[in-house]
Amino acid sequence: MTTTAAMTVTAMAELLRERFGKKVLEVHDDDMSQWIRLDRDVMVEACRFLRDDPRTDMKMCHDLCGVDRVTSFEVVLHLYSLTLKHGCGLKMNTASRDEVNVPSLTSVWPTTDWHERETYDMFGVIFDGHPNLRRILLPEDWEGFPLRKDEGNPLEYHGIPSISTIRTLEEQNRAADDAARAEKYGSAAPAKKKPAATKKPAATKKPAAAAPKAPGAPAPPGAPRPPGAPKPPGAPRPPGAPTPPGAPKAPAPPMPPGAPKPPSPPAPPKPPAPPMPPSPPAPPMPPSGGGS
Amino acid sequence: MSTTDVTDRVVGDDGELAEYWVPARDARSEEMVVNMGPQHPATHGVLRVAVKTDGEVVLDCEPMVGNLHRCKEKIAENVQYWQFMPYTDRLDYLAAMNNEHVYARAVEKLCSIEIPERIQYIRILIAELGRIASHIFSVGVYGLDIGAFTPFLYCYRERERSNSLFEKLSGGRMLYHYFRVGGVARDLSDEWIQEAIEFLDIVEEKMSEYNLLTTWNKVFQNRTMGIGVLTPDKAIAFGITGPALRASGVDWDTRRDDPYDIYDKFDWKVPVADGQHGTVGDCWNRHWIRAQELVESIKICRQAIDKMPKRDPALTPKSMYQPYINPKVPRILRGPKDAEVYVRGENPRGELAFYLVSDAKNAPYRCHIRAPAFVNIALLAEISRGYLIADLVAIIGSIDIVLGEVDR
Amino acid sequence: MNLDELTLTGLFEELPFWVDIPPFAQMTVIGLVGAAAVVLLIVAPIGLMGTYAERRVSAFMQDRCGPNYVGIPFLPRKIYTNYKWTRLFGLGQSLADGIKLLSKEDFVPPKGEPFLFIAAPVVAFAGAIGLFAALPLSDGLIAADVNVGVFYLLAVGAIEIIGVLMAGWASNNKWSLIGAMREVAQVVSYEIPMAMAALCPVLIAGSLQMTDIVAVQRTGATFWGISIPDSIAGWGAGWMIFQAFPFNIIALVIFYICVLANLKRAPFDLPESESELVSGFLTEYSGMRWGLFVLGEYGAMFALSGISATLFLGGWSGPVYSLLTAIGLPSIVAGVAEFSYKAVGLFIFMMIIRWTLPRLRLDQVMVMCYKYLVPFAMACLLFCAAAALVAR
Repeated sequence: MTTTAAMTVTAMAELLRERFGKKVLEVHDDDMSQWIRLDRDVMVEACRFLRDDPRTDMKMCHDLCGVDRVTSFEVVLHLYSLTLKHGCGLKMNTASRDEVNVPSLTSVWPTTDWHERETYDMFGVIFDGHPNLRRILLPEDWEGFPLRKDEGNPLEYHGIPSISTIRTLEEQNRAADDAARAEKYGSAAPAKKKPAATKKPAATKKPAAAAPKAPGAPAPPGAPRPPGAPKPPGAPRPPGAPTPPGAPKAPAPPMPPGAPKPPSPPAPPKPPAPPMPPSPPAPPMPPSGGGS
Repeated sequence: MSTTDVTDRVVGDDGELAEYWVPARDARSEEMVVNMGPQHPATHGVLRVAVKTDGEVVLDCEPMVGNLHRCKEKIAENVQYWQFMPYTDRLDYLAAMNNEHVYARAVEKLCSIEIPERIQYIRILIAELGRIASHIFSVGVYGLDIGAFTPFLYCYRERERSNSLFEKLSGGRMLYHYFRVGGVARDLSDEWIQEAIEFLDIVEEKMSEYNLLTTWNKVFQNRTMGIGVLTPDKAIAFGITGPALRASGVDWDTRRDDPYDIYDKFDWKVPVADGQHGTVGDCWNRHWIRAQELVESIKICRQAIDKMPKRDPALTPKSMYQPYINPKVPRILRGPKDAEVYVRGENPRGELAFYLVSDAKNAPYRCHIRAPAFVNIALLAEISRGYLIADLVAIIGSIDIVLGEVDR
Repeated sequence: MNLDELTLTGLFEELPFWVDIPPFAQMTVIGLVGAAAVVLLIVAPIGLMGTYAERRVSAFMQDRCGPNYVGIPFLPRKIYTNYKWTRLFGLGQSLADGIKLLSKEDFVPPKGEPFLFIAAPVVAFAGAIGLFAALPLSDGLIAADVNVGVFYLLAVGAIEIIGVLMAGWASNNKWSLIGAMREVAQVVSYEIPMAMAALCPVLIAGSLQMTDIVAVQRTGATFWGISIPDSIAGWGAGWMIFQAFPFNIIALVIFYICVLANLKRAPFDLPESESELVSGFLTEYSGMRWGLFVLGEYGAMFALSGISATLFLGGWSGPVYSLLTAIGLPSIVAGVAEFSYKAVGLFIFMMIIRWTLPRLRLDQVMVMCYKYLVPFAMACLLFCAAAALVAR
């Protein structure tokens, strides 16, 4: 076998099979993509072999990234040889979604350092033997791994509401405004709002601060409301809670318990996970990306 | 303290600095951690580098990225293939056209779309013009890092021209969204090509100005030669690509060695550092390779303009609102089931690659972006230990990162 | 009143109650009024014009326009758009900038040393205006003709680094501290060749007094022992660069380089190098405190350009002076004209250098000082001493 010719991925897989036997799980070689799936136990050794063997000479690790394959996570490498001008992809899978340990390749190619950190950051794949496995793109205190397919939208980060929270708030505001308008103009007002309406004249004793604010002055229904702003209560002003005349703003009907930030405080940090992935390719056990 | 004394302190790959950094005799020195960035003029954006220094000597540094993270890969999973195109502009926003080029090629490979020949020539021309615009900026802004303000404005004068050129083409001055899957947004008019030729002439003429103010300036050479030396082995092991790799003496250019589109039809040479000036792999060579690539790109552009085929009436869109693409491109792009592609292209800052996994939907199942600047900046600590803070700035500038690409 | 006899003390003596004041109070009043006059009449206009000139020169070098719009304020828009001369080529820009600086937030870093932080710009500024005291602007127009003028100038010029060090320490900012330390290392090093270069004309003149140094370039000039006739010496042939011929030119170059380094002008702008240290010791400064540093810098730039001109290029004596006095202008006016074109020329040349060259590195700055400037300055000093001996 000459050392100067570019090899096909099939030939490379043969080389690997000579060495690692059954640990070479799958080979894919067509026009679109060429890759070899290896068992994660032999990955470091195989990478070192591919790097050092003059027939393959994969000196450059171009890329390393993760893919969510539903039953497990897949780590994909793309290797190139600058001398022989060929390349191949290597894949390994974690054992399952919960057992996410794979060996780190930083000892083979130092460039995988940051790639592995990024994969950990996005998928939560843990690379055993990595010297410095921390988050890299996301903040240190971020919870969850955003590129997992079952990862929902976060509600807030350090008090900054996320876009989904803002949308929920907008919906609530809109509903509140609609209810307030319905109450004011009497069209299709729910019956139980009556007592609140009778309460209103009493409040006008202290002029104008609370009275026009709570039920009246409906914002245009489409207008988004900043999440920190006091939101008109969903059920406007229950009869038992009159406005204390001294309080200038009277922000606290029972709904939000006094927090300046009313948005759904009791909500859990994450919504219940949506139904798994949108549509993952879900072939059975050796979860494959290529359907050869 | 001479330059050689400083560089002698750089020892090996193993990170333990305390082992070889021995302060002179009984001198008592304290280490200090200085935070360079995220708001620092030399970090080209929002890069943050935590620098451990002893006086002004950099003992160790750690680049901290992520301040500009915009969830590009997550967005890609939620928009259609063609909708992701403008997002790729925002990766390397100084060479937006080149990002689009690579992404368009990735989607076309995934969906098996053919590109008409004229459009291929247009793409090469536009991509190389983008490379020229980007390299002009890099060359000028490197002068700014070294402390010379004037070359930056000289270079920006030409960058303004290229911006205007692209504005006439796409309507945007910085983020263009000109490439489409299967083609480009609109055909080049003859007047535009004429202006492009004028632009190339001007750049070719002004190259001597840039080189006089930076490359051949003695002070500039003293500041950059022999600084931040990156050996070829280390460059390959760290996955460095682009001008930084060629400045280390590795003769590799994806356009020539793994040719895509029609790059093999052009005649140009890949500039590689040969050690004639400075040390192979130092900051000056990285700068010089960029300046030479500018000239080579001008050659490619001229050839592309000369060889460009005549307009094909079958391709001409019926209305000006329709893109200039292969008419066979389906209205809704769907990748094949369980397929994946890994497509790379030579960008001004290195090899950008898109890894697309499709699941027969109109959006990718997974889109990974291999950003060259992300890989290149990871090397910073390796080549900056033992130099001065001023050299650290020179090294960051010579790696030429764009934070939009690092953080994605 | 004869213009030549006009002095500051003479003005005060006109006051009726002046003799009743004790002498030390007289000195204080004279000093304060003199300093205020220098600041208001010389340093502030120079600072304003200097910033404007810097921006226009840099714009000219960089193919831009620069500030060219802000002129006479409060004019109706119609006049402003129709008559371009009302913009005065943008001369009002510096004034507008000054107003902006005055109205900016007065920020003092809460964890720094507030007293030092506030005092630092004053100290630095004081060093700059002190330079004008012993600078002969024209024939007889010198505030204090001290007999150790050159030493005084070198000493006062070094005060500024104390202000910079105070600023760097008091800011509680690592970048500021690094910048201040760079400044101290740089300026202390460059004082040595600067003083040596300044001693070359002193040796030739045989005096430290600035007026004497100017006088020896007008009358009694020698060229390696050959006496230069006064008739041509007054027209520029007696300038110090022509006496002890090649060596004083080298001394001028060395002196000028050292001036650049002492003033932190590029390529020696390491203490405030923007791309490395954010702004060095100026990082935490804003508003008029920052403005004082800049004003002081431009004042010192002009003063040191004037000192270079006085030591080596004849000061207020030269062709223009001789020409103007020959056509009958008063000597003080002719002297100012002669002095200004040389000082302004050196001043502008500093800007041209700044906008051309990249910045040096700290070790290169030191290498340049100790390996090249100091030996060359020593050699110049030696040969100038020889020339002075020959002349005697």
